[in-house]
Amino acid sequence: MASDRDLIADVAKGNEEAFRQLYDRFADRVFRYACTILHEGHLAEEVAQETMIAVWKGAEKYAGRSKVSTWILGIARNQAYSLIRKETRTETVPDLSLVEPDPAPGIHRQEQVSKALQGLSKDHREVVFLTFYEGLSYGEISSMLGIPTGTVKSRMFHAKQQLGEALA
Amino acid sequence: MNECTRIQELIPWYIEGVLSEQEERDVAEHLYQCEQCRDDLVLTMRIRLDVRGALSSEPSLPDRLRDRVTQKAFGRRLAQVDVGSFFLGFSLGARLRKGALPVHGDLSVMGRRIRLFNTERKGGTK
Repeated sequence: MASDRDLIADVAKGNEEAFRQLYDRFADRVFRYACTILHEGHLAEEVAQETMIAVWKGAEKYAGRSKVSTWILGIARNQAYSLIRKETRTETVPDLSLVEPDPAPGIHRQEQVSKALQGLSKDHREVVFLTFYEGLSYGEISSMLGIPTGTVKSRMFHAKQQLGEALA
Repeated sequence: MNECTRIQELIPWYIEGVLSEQEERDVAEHLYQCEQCRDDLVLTMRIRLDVRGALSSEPSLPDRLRDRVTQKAFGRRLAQVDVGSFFLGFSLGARLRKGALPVHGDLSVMGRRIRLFNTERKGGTK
């Protein structure tokens, strides 16, 4: 199986099959990441679409300094935040950080966890996703988000505390 | 910052196995002697499992998007002529993309396509 780096090199040469393979590897991950930031399925779809098209058009810009996954997720993040800026100019995006986690007993566990995640601020939720779903190191997250490593650690520390309380 | 706080900040990445060797050794040595941080390790592992479970159970990206993305990326196919067999063949195609009409030729060897030419330079329509 071709490595991510091999695929991106082939995509840079215009290889459509390589792009299809790259799409199959990353589009759903991009979508889930966008959902974490936006919490709106249709907007996350738009981010996934625009991100993968940007990958096709800009593959030759990949310099190999980071993992391909980090590079693609970075593009997705830029797309998601520019969409937020566009949306907030026209309508209000619901602030899901204000949604209180529902501790009602009997609720399905996954639903309870999803609500607890929604109860986190967008910044905290993003670090939790990149660590526990994408398995990125705090250094990679720091470079990707453009924030100090100490901020990444403290966001995770507080998110963990909040999740621990909500899921106790 | 006391040592427990420093270690508990590192625990999520310790679980992921993405710490430096030195940090990993520091965490392991501290955990060996600190019950409070071992409890934090267990709690963090449970949270990680819950989070992964919840995120994985959310709906996936719809399949229909794949065609939309490839069509937007590659352009709409207008014509395609394939000559030859699975072992050796040649194809000539034309697409419509953003008002341009790129034409490309591919050589296929054992099912693998090799681009011979493309009248549109990739990235030229950015």
